[in-house]
Amino acid sequence: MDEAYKAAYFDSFTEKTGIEIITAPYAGLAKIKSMIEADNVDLDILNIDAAEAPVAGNNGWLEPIDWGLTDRSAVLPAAAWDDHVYAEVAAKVVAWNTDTLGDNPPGGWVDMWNMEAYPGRRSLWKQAFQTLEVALMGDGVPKDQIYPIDVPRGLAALDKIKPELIWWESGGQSAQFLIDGESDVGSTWNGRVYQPKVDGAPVNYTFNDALFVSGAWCVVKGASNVGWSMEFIAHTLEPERQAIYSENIPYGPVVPAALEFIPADRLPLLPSSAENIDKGVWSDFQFWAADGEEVINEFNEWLLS
Amino acid sequence: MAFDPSVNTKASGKAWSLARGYFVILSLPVLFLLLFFLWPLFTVVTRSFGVDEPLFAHFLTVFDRSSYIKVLGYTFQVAATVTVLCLLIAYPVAALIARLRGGWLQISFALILVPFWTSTVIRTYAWMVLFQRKGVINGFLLDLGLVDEPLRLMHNNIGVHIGMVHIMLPFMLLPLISAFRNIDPSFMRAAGVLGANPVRAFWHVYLPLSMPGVSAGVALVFITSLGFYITPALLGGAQNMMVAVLIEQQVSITVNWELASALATLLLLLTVALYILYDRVARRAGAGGVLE
Repeated sequence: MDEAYKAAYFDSFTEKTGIEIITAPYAGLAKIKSMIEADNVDLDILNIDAAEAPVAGNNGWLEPIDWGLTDRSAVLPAAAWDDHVYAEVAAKVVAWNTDTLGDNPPGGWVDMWNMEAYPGRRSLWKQAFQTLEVALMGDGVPKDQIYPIDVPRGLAALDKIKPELIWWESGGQSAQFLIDGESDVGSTWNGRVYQPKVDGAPVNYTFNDALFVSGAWCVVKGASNVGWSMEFIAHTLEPERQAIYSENIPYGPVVPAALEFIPADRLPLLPSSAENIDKGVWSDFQFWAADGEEVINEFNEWLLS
Repeated sequence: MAFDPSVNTKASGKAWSLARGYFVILSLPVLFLLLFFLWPLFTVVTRSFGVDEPLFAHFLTVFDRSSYIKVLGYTFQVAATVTVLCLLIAYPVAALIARLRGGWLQISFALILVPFWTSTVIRTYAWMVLFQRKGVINGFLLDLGLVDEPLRLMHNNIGVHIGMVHIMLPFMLLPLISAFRNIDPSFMRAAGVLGANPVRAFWHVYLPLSMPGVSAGVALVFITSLGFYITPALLGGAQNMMVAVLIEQQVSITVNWELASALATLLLLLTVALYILYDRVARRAGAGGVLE
């Protein structure tokens, strides 16, 4: 991902402005909070999980995005916020091992919940977020009605597949389970199974019922270069730049105009291409920022029961 | 020894400069610990009380959530089981290694230290390769026809315990070997000469003399096990959640550092309490406390 960002945004920004982008290891909420508390903000621009951005925003840790520099309406409505903008469109997808389910591929989460038609082991993320959404869709809730999360229904749905359910805790593990046949069908991010599939691993996936997720660009409150940071974020939203990013990594652009610059054979691999964007639904990060702690606690209690 | 400057001024002056030397040498690590250990610990403990909340509000939240209590209980239970298993496995092995000399001793140490130096994550992934449904062990058992369907070796308690015992064994072996090597073999011979059978000689001579090693190993393994994160996460199932996972959720997902601090403080208090209890019991048993 770092390399795709470099190819698409960092080098061209330096070329345009003479400003070098220096990257630092992933800074999550804990790092931002400690920087702000210590009044020692040594980062300007953040690329954090989109789920973290509204939490940071609600805590007052982010500068407002300068929407005067970019046409906000050119960005996917779901991706543009007052204090952050999504960096790409990635997808939580249903994927399966083709040795066991290759002749009978599941078409979405409902099929993953159908033990008779698609027998075998299931694997899901051991986190409340993204997993409860998947469970609700698996239980037949239409994808535009999964928020606000009906926690009891989601947990009841998970109960139905619990005997065959194993949990993954990292993205690498989610793909490895499916490739090794440790699991027959499960959730993973499209970027995790794309390359193994190309390399011939026995794994496949579909964008049906995809849950769209993303990283988010934002600027830390009190950053020393707010102006240039805003210029940089505007730079990332140029369609040509977004297209180069999506050619380097199988994540889609947040600016639909970028699709015109992407080779046609690449488009089926991108979650936000015209043919895929309507198959999925955006994860509601605002819901999780507001009610996450309570839901996570309920989910943990269910896990341990 | 009494210190009387009027008797021997020369010697006392020497003692004084020696003490001052110690002070200078010791002040650096003490300063280091104050800065990088005690101060952060202090901030964690104070943070657990929050700012504007009523006293103990975050601790009450911990006790209010049944999942937190379960996770704390499970954490201590796993740490205790792993410690006992490590002790049972390591005791005879260490006793044997302590008797070795020369090349065999070096080979034994290499066998302990090489895994000890290998990353926990890598060792945990190695167990995953062995334990998976289509992993090495299940493949072997299925090929031999010993089982009809793959055994569930991971995603459960079994996987967590095997993985953790394997990772913690060196922490038990090393202090035990060191303690055993300090036991003069002639003591056991003397016990035999005086008429004790091997069981009695072991029970009354060898075991008490080995207790400092046991105490050190038990304390090391138990306390380190309490903080495990990645091994239970990768080899465990839904119910195998350690308190470190909860703390991490509160630190980086919900950013409720007060609650995270309360959990960490509680873990610290329980650990210290158990440690004192263990020390008392060990002293009463005449085996010497951990600190001796």
